[in-house]
Amino acid sequence: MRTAILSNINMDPVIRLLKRSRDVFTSEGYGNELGALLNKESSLSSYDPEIVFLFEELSELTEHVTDREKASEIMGEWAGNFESALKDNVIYYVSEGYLYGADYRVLGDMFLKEDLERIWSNLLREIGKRHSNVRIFPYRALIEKMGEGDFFCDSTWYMGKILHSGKALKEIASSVNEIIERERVTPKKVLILDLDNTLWKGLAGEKDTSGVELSDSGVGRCFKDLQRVILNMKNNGVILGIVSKNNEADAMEIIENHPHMILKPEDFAVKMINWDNKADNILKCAKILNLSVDSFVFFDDSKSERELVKGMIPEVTVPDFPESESKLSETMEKIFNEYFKKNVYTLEDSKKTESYLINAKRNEEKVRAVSFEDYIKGLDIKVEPVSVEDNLDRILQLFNKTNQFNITTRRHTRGELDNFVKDPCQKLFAFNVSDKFGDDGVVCVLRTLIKKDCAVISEFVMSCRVMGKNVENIVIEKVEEKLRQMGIKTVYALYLESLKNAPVSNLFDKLGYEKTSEIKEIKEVLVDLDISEGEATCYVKQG
Amino acid sequence: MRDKILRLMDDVFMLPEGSITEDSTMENTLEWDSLAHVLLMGELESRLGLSIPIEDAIEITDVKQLFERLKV
Repeated sequence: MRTAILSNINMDPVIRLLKRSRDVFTSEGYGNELGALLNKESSLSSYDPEIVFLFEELSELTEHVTDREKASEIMGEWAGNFESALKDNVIYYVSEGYLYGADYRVLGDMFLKEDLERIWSNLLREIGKRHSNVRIFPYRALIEKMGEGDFFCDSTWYMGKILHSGKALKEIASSVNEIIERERVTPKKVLILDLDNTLWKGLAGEKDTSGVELSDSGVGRCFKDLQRVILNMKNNGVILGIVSKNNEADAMEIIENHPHMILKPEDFAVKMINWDNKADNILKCAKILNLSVDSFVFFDDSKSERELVKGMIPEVTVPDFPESESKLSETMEKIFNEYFKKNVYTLEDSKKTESYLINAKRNEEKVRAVSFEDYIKGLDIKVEPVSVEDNLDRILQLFNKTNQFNITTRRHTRGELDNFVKDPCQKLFAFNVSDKFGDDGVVCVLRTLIKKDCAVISEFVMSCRVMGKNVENIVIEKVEEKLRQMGIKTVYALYLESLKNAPVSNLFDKLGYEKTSEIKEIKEVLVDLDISEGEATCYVKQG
Repeated sequence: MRDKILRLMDDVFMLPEGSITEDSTMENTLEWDSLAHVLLMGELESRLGLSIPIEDAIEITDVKQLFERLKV
């Protein structure tokens, strides 16, 4: 399955882990997950994922607000945009909300954190009701299993917006893998059960019901708990059947009257209690239920019966029976997870407490179709030129650290950079980018070399933090405008492939430039840049 | 400790054991990119109890500098 992992924080390590075994979309940074989903021209859209996992770090998404109203508004807006971006043929998993951070640990109101998280859960549940292809990624279970302290990692968070520890990243990746595997296989439908020594200990019909062990303690409890697991599986959609060698009356006496029986006669859709061959009985069940035997799982303590069924109807799934009775419940849970579990995970119904929770069920009026263009417009992106001289340190860092959005990957020393600034035949441009969620700072720099009335864009570097929001379009317009004012008639641009800069391989095509081999005018520039002819792709734009 | 660190680096960079040596640099190791670097810093801290302040961590670009900074 073509898979995409999107997030508002750095989940690249998970993508990297998943890539070892499957086809995963290479995201361009993070924080633009809705933009990527909404934009029909985005690299995500051309990748055309079949399954999308959205890991939304709730505290980032809500900008750490602790006001219920405000948080509900922000989450509601996110949900509205998300809903507009949904495609029917794609499966979406959205992570549960979990507010991590010291700021949430010092709240006076002990219900506040839980309430804020619940606003998110309610929104997801509402979306899930409207769209069967939207499901919930069980993120909280992973945190609970490992504990907050082991799950999160502050140092990688501050260094690179990676919130999770190495161990947690592996858990998340394996959970994603499990979900995808489950999406690929059709879940089983029917669980066929034996009775003696399977649903209870002992043999029915030996005496009265007291001949079997089924109770609140000891071995009897093992079987009672197993029945509880099976009952919940039934309530979760699994069809139950009995195929057992007994006198029917003896068995029914226990099922109907034993005080510790959890499963009741009406819980079984089909009962084949007789002395016939079990394989034949299973085939009869299939006929009665009008289901094919490949949707059957057969659970029986007797190895010979299991082997018989395996041999005669290989389509039936026959799991092993545990050695120890204390493992009965766990074994059944595993059977459920492996064969029956569907990827539809419903949050337990929570009480509709206060009005703010109701508000959070995104006001229907707010639901409007949002296009990518509208979304970008709504972000209120501002691209402002800044003084190069005042930002030399940051510019140097951008030149030397940026790998993805970097057209020629030239690295420079501080001395070289100082010379560029002084050189009248060069012009550097730097830009500060901000949007309504905050200021990303100086994240973009361009270097142009001027030759009479021509300019060559030799370097164009942008932090991946702002990729995917069409910032490059605004930047290039501003640069071209400035060059026009300087009397430049023709603008050339270069692209030099590196191991990592595929995201900008067709940048200049998108920006309205044309490939050219007429490079007489800029030959000297290439020499200055230490790029041999034919090595780089050259583009041109007139006027 | 040096060997422990090198083996941890193999693991974090998802390379066969023994791939990273004292001569490894970000330049000559494709898998050692900025992302892997951040993960390495996290794992050094959580698995070996070695922590490096962020400002210093981003300056390190090869194994020699890493050992020097950690004083191992």
